Amino acid sequence: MIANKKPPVEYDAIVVGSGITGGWAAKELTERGLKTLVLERGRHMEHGPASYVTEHLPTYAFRYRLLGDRRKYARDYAVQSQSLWINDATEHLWVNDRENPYSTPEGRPFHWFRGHHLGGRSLMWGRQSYRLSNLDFEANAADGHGCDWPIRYGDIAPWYSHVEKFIGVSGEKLGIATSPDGEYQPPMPMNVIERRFADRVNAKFPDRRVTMARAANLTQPLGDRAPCHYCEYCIRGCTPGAYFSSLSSTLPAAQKTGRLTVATDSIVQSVIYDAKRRRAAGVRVLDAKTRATREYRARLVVLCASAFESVRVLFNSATKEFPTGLANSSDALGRYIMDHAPGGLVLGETDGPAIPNYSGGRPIPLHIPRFRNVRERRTDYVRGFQANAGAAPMGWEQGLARPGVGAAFKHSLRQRGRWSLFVIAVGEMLPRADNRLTLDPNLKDAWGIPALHIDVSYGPNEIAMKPDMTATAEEMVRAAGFENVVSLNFPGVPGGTIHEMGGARMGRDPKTSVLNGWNQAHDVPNLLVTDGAAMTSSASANPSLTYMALTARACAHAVDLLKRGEI
Amino acid sequence: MDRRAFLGRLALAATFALDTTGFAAALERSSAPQREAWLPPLNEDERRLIDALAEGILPATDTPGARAAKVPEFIALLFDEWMLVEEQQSFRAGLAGLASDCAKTQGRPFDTCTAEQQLSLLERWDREAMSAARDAPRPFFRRFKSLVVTGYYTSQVGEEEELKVQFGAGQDESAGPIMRPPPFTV
Repeated sequence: MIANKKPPVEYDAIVVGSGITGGWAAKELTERGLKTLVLERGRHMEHGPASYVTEHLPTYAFRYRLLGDRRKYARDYAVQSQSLWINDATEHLWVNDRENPYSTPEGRPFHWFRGHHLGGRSLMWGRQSYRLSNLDFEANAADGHGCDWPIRYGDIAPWYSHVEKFIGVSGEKLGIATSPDGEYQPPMPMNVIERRFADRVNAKFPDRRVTMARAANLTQPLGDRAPCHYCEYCIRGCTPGAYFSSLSSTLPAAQKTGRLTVATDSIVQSVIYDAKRRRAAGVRVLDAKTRATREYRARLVVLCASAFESVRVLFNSATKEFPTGLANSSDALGRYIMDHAPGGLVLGETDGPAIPNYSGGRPIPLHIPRFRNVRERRTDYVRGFQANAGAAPMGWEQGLARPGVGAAFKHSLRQRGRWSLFVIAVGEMLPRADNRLTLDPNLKDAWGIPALHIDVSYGPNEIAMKPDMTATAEEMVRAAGFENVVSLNFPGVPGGTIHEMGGARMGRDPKTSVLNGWNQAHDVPNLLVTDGAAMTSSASANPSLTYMALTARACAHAVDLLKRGEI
Repeated sequence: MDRRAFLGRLALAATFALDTTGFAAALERSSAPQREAWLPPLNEDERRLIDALAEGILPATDTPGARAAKVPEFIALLFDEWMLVEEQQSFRAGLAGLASDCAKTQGRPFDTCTAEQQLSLLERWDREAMSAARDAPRPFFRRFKSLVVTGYYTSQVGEEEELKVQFGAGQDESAGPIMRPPPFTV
């Protein structure tokens, strides 16, 4: 579907990366008339069964029954295998860690989970899609952590609508200002146990609201994409297109314009800087397979390589004029890295309706938007957290912990048993200058490109928020009448939520930020960074919808500037 | 209820409940990938014992048992290809421990005992394993039983004949769709 022919050299725009933001940049730029080249470091993938090779396979079709080829993971996926998302059905979607190393300081681990293929992590993402509000955009100015966002909700709201309408988001309107309503298809339904949890918590805690996640999973048809059929194998790929990915949606839209070229196995080593014109002139690319290098030229360069990779490209693009990294006169490049910090996992049990064994389920959880530090001001921490929840009857897995052997034991596992509810909170992480990326002077990847050194740790605010996240989840599960409530408190490693962001923050002041309010580098106005690197604060909500809205807005603006000859 | 039992309640995390602590520890020790010296495959006696143990834990009833579901072959595959060296060593030792206990108490190999003798041994081993101290290392019989349970219920026989799994029927249920918990990164 997407042609992979040897491309010509000159373009109007180059987009680095084909993931959740790269696909959007491709769509917006081509639809607005720009001949656009998308460079993807990873391999080609098709939307459909040719690439979604494990899509509906039953567990017994896999050699290790989804336990994963652990010896291979120990050797080649030492970091990716920390995520629990990797198994026989998904291992082809995660990077080979030996080929893509990075370093961390002793005692400060970071888990960087990603995949290199057309579509990037838009194939594996969790799909929860929330709008940030002015509570988030004003937070840095209000409490002094980080620098002020150069935009407010009013600037991005039309772009949230633009993105939601195209990607298809299902969800419930709540009328809560701090979790703004968007353009939604009907929400996915709760089951009766979740309904009980939601009704009781909503009644007992009027400042909290349990709702269905707003998510990029369709409940109605959208174009030629079909609504979700609840097979719950999203991460393996969805041929019907029920969830949003670059492959199912934005890249095909860009392709339709006739102005898109995609080159896969194309690693962008650096941006070419024209010091005389003070502009980005193009990029230098290394062919991942042949190691041949080539250059591409364009009037506009958009970095959508994912937060850390975009920052890495800028570090590797250092010049005489920008010795610490292209567009880094502020020294903010690589700094203010954030993720979302998890609370404890809380479980509760209850009796519930007997339902047959079936595979699959609803692919998205319940959601509780942030309620902390909204109307009150706590003394133990600033900002807040959101939570997810879900309920299912326990199945044969109970046999892993249940006493008994023989016929009676076997018979006891035939039907599903009591229902189990989980609640887990994830909290905002404050921006700190010393949570930063640099280049490791001694480490290169398999292609000889300098690798990152990632130095990120949870700070005092995150540490203070964590016990309240767990206690609050427990409080709600108990208040809703569930039994055997237990909390599993794991230390958590930064990167674990797979929401790593920051490193090229937007800001009003070129002395303290990398990007302006339109995602243009202050120092290089025809160079945009629109992926997670741009985030000035993390908020508590899942960030991808914001990345997409920022991308669409920034690309539309850049096209305007190009047409007016201003960049 | 101990932490491993909690994990047993999470559908997907349960896939790693088998020996997570051993794997994680081994992973930390292997700072550079090395050629490991894997143990030789299970011998005939070991396979016979595994076969009888598995069938005793999940026997043929009105539906096929572990043997018909090829659970012994799956366990042998995990031993050969999936377990790390420490896990292979401890598995082999654990199996020998059960064999020796049986020889001491019944005076014959497990697979030649009567069905009643086998069940009585299995019940005692299960009782002892399930009542082990919370912080003690996971008893072999507990780990072995987990392999049998996983091998059975993820097999085609287990899925189609015992559980009678229907594909993706959840959204038609009057109770509403279930939400299987995602694997939590810990």
